[in-house]
Amino acid sequence: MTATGFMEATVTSPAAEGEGAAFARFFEQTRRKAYGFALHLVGDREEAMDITQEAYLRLHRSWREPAGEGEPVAWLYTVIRNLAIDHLRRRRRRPEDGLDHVHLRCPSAGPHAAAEQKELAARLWEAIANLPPEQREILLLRDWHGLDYAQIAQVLGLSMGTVSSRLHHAREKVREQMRRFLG
Amino acid sequence: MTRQPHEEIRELLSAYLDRELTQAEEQRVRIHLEDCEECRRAFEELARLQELTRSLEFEEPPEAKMKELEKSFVVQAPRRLGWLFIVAGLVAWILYGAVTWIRHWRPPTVEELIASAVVIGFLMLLLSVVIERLRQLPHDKYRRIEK
Repeated sequence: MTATGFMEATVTSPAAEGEGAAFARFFEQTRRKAYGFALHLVGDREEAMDITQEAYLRLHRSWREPAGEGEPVAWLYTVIRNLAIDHLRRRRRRPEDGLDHVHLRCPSAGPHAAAEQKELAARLWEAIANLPPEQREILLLRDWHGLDYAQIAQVLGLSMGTVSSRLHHAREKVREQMRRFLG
Repeated sequence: MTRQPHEEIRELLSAYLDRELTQAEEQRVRIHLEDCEECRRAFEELARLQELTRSLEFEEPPEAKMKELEKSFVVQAPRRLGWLFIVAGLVAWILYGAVTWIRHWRPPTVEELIASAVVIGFLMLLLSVVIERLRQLPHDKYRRIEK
C-alpha cells in the first residue's frame, strides 16, 4: 500500500455516474489509505478494521448528498479520526501509542537496491515516529495520504496557517535526522 | 529585529514544495532558489524526503473483511427500504383494523379470534427478537457488518 494515486480519489457527480458505482469506485480508491489511517491511530488491526467499516457505512448512508468534489475524502478521514479518538478514550490510551504497533514493509525495489532502500525506509519511519504526535499526523496526512492543506485543516479542525507551520517544522526535524542518508 | 530573507524563504520551502503558496510568494521563492545554493539543497532534500515518504509501504487491510464490507453496501439500500415498507405496512394495517373495529363493532367470530391469536403471537415473537437484538447490540463486535 503506497501513497501513489490517492489524490485521484475524487467523486464524479451522481448524474454522470450511478451513485452506487461512484461510491464503489471511491471505496476502492480510498479503502487502503483509510484503513492505514485508522491503523496509525489505534495500532490494532481488528479495531482499525472496525473503525474503517463504521466510517464507510456512515459515509454510505449520506452518500446521496456529497458536499463537493474531494470533500468525501476529508469527511471520511474526519470520521475515522473521531471514531479513533472515542475508541482510544474508552480504552484510556494515548493516540501516539498506535504507531508503535505499525510494521513497515520493505518497499519494492530491485535486488541491487533492496537492502539500501529498506534501511532508508526504516530510518525515515524512525524519524517520523520520533516527531511530536501533532506534527507526525500532519506529515503523514500530507505526504503519505496525499491530502492537501485545506483537507488536512478540515480533518484536524485547524487553520491552514497552522497546518503549514506544523508541516514545515515536522519536515525540518525529519530532514535534520535524515541528512546523512540523503547525500 | 528583522529576519533575513534567507530565513523567511526557508519557512516557505515546505509550502512551496506542496504548491500551496500564493503566486507572489511562489515567485519570490523561485527567484531566491536560483541564487541560493544552500536553500536549493534544502529544497531538494525536502522533495526527496517527500518522495521517500510516499513510497513507504504499510500493512494491507484484511482483504476478506474489505470484500465483506463492500458487499454490505449493496444490500444496505434495499434492506433499509424493506424495513421501511414492513413498518409502514404494519402501522397502516393496525390503524385500518382499529378504525374498522370501532366503526363496525360486533362480537368477534371464533375464526377471527383464532386468526388474531396467531397474528398477535407472531408480533410478540418479532418484538422479543427486536428487544433481544437491541440488548445485545452494544456488546456485539460484528454489529457493523451487514450480513
